[in-house]
Amino acid sequence: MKKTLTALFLAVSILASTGVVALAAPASVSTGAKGNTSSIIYVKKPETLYDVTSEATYTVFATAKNGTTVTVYKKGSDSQYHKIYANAVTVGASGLYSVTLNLTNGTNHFLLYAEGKAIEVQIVKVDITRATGSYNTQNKFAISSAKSSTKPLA
Amino acid sequence: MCVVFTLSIWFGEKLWSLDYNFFSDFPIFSKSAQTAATEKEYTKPILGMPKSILISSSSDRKTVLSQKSAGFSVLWQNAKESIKTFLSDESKVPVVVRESTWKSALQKDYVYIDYQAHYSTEFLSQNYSCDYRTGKYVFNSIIIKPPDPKGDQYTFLLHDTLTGKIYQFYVPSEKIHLIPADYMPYMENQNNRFSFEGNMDKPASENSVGSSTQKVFIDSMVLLNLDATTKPEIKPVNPVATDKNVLDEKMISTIASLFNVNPHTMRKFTDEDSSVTFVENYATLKIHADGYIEYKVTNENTAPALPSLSSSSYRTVYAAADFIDSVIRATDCQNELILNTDVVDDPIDGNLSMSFDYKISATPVVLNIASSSHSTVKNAIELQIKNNKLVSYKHYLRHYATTNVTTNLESTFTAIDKLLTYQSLKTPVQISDMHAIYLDNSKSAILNARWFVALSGNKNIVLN
Repeated sequence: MKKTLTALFLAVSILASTGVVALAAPASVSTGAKGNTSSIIYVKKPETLYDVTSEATYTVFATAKNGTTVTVYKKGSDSQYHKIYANAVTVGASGLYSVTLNLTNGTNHFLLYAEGKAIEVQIVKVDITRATGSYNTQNKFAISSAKSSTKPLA
Repeated sequence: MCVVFTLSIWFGEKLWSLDYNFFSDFPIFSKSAQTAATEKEYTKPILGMPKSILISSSSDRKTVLSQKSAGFSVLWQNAKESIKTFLSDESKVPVVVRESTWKSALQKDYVYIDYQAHYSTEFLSQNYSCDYRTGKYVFNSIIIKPPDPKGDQYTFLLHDTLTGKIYQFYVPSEKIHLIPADYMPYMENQNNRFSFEGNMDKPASENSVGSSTQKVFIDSMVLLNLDATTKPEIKPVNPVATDKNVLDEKMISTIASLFNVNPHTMRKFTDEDSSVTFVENYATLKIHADGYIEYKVTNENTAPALPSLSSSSYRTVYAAADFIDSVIRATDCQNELILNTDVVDDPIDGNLSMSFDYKISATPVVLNIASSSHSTVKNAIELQIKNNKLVSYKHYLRHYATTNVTTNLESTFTAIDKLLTYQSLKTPVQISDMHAIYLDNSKSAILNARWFVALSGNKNIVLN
């Protein structure tokens, strides 16, 4: 019995040290969910975690710690965030990360669930509004129902 | 016996001088007469032809088209007409704008023409046969933006290297028709973004949320491939030698004739490695078995001048292009060439140096050919002209045949991951350029596309 427990402990330790058992991201995340760190992923675009576009897709750029796994969620009608890609992406040695997201008209609420090598989780919410406006000469959109605040969600 | 000797002298080419060919009086036997009409049309596009065109439409499609891409010729024809209109339009007024305007222009509908080499507006006007009615600007890329829905003017933007400023011009829309949406059938959904579009070129701004230490910065105009792509494998073929490294005598004679070297000269030497050297009074021509041509004038006074259009501006440039074209035609190296040398001023003194690289579907072939019989080859073609005389010409003859096999080329970020994993680089790393290449070091029968990374400080790395 003692040998079995020792073997089990060793196996878990080895797997944990190689990162294989990094806690899998959940299938869905509640609106109020928060991580336990703010230092493993940093969104480069959109800088303010909010943007407006007329295009059908939007690419989020970020930098993260080497080995961070990033899972992307989108808010559904049940106010929960649901995984939109089955597989998480592991950030490599450069720390560079991007994900191209499909947009629907109106505001699209996304959530990046970043897990570090240790038991660290950072949650970043990104809102992208797809507006069916038109360019003016300053390449700014004329949007009929512009959002008043550019602050990200909590 | 006398008759036999006479016939032998007449038809034995060894006793002909290079310029003696009594058949040349008959037009049907004159190669130059047959090809003269088409040669000019063929060579001129080497100069003033873009490396690639990036076309972006408001429907979020962004595609890089190169010369062999479907739709390129139609797009380039219209883009060229637009540039001609821009160059010859008298009403346009240059406005100096900030870099942010340049970057804003690279959103939604636009056509971005990347020449690689820098050209002057004066040369392009000459090259495209349009009136030169503009100030002198020198640039290697130009943005053309169609009018917005309520506007009636096309916008042209260029980075002028003479002044370091960005100029914006407006040209009335009735003179131009270049709408990116018209080319939708040719557009793929390539997931490309310029580095600046993802803020990968700069540290965090005051507006950003959170903070991070960024290990890699990428210059703003580097185009990032966010998804893995496929590229064809290519096979290098030496056109002057057979598989057993035996030189093709007929082709050697043709090449020698192009350099005004008598292929039947008695001063012809063959080395152990099958290389052939011709020695004339004013020059030597060596054709290596690996397909490398080295021509060097030893007496500039007696060397023949290149034939050229005597009244034309930039005639030395065109004479060089025509000469290269004649070599390419003779050797059937049907590759696209990229000019690496800027064409800024008319070399009216007849002095000029130029170099070219091969490219396959917008992917350059980087050469690194080390050999015991010649110096390391870095460019497909290097030439030097002095007083309208070709004094040095080096050409690594290759035809790159595209195979039916494609291989995977990882995304830009994955490639940079690899760079940082296998190279000990001091961070933060600054990448000044990054694009796919084929590397030919003459050791591989098949070449796969790889990533080329230029780091600040002139350090270049080719990833495996």
